[in-house]
Amino acid sequence: MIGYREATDIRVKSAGDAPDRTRLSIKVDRVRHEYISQNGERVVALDDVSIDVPNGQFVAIVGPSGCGKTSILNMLAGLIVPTRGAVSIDGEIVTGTSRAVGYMFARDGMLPWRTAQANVAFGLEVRGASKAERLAQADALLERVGLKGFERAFRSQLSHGMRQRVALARTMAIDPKVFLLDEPFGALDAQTRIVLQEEFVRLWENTGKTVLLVTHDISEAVAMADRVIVLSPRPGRIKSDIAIDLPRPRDIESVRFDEKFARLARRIWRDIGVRGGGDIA
Amino acid sequence: MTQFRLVVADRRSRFPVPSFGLRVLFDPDNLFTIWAWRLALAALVIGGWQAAAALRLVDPMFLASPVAVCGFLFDYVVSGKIWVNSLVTLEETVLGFALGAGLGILAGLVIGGSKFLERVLTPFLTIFNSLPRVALAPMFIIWFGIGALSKVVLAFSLVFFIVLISTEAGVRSIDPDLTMMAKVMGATDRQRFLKVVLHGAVPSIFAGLRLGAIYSLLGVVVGEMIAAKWGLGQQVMEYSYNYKPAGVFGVLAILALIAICLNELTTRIERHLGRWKTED
Repeated sequence: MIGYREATDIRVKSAGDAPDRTRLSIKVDRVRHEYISQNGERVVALDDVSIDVPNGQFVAIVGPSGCGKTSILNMLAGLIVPTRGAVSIDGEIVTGTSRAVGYMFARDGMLPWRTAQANVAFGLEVRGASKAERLAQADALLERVGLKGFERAFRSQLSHGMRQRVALARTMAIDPKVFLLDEPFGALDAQTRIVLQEEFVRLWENTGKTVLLVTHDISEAVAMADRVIVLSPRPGRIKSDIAIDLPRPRDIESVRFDEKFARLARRIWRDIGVRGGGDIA
Repeated sequence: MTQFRLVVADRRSRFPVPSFGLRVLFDPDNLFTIWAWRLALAALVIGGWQAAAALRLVDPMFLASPVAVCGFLFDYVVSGKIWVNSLVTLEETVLGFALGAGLGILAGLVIGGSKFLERVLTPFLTIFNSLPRVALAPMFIIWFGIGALSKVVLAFSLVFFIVLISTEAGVRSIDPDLTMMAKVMGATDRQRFLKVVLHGAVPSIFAGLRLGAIYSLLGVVVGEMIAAKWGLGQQVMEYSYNYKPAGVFGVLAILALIAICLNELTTRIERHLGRWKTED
């Protein structure tokens, strides 16, 4: 109950307000992550990674597959614990799953026995919101992601793009302070991907939420983010940290033909080092 | 795309059928055709059976004619013996099923939810489940007497493992994406279990229940056949000892009817609960 009320308060406050960019939202502090692989070897996924993200910034992390990009998100979501170092959100060190975080994956995770509406309402339901409240909220969010009229549809009746929209609405319903996106558009076809990127940016701009996007699509990173961080191959270290000074509000589709866009994208391609034999999955 | 259309076109007739108006006779989608064939087939079997008995092709000592079976069933109903014996068998079946299903679901959920328990217990479960427990029926009679208890225990021992294993499989087959989603959406362990794991396991649990209901009846009948005062299984034994094949086949017909009803009942309950799909 209390958790839900807090969430609504934050939404009211943050709507339209400019984020206080001087405050730190995410701090990844000298993090190292090791794990034991299936054949018993110790693998260093991340080594000495530090990232400071101010409130309201949209940061994309790119890098070759296996460089530990997703590990950073999992740490922030409280799903794994760093071997060394610490991660914090709003100044508090993350020790377990937190309701302040909205995590979205490449796979939609829709409960197949629930309608789109009930799927979107899931987060509010586990927070104890009343049925009327959560269903009204779910309907409003479904409309915002362009799924009006599909409230009663089941997963099996929706296309991949629509399922991912439901996942987006579900994540927005809990009104998180921080969005963690793990290749949320990666499983979509090229056109749907751009439409959804555009929609996410449209919904996100002016909310003042912090976003951390992990992707291997460099165009996606440059088109959407304020800042792109390039990780090196395993063990992942920060190779470069590039400010994307393209204007906002941004048109995801046409910004791709911008000269500055091309320059930034080329620079990132070079940093990732495709020609140097790096593996881009 | 092309392949998909081919499959659809192929669905109506899987084997070549002569095309001069006979198509309706072999139309797999025509309900009338299908029922006509079913009735014809039943009439053929029962008629052939009656003819074999009437023409004395088979010794009536070994095989009762359908007419004789019907005569027996009529007397059986009129004398009221049908109700006494059916009721005993049904009571034992329902009791064994309810206990086995309840505890089986519970144990399946606990074991399915714990990797540790699952790993420790799997070999034992496999042994117990593959053991032909009906072979233990004589021991159950010795341990629990010739009354209802031994039959209930036998039915329980069959249902419990069937339901346990299907429940456990249902819990383990939950898509990890779904539990992960629930976790990052802030669901507590309890909520995750109730709203995701339990819900996701329902189809598999029901498959186990449907099988369990039939096995419960099987266990009870076998138990009654070994030693009992009442019950349809005991009746089968009594009539076969006394060389009354009409009685044996008559009681078998009643058992078949009960089995069909049980199956229908569980299927209906499943379909009714299937409405969990439409609301949150």
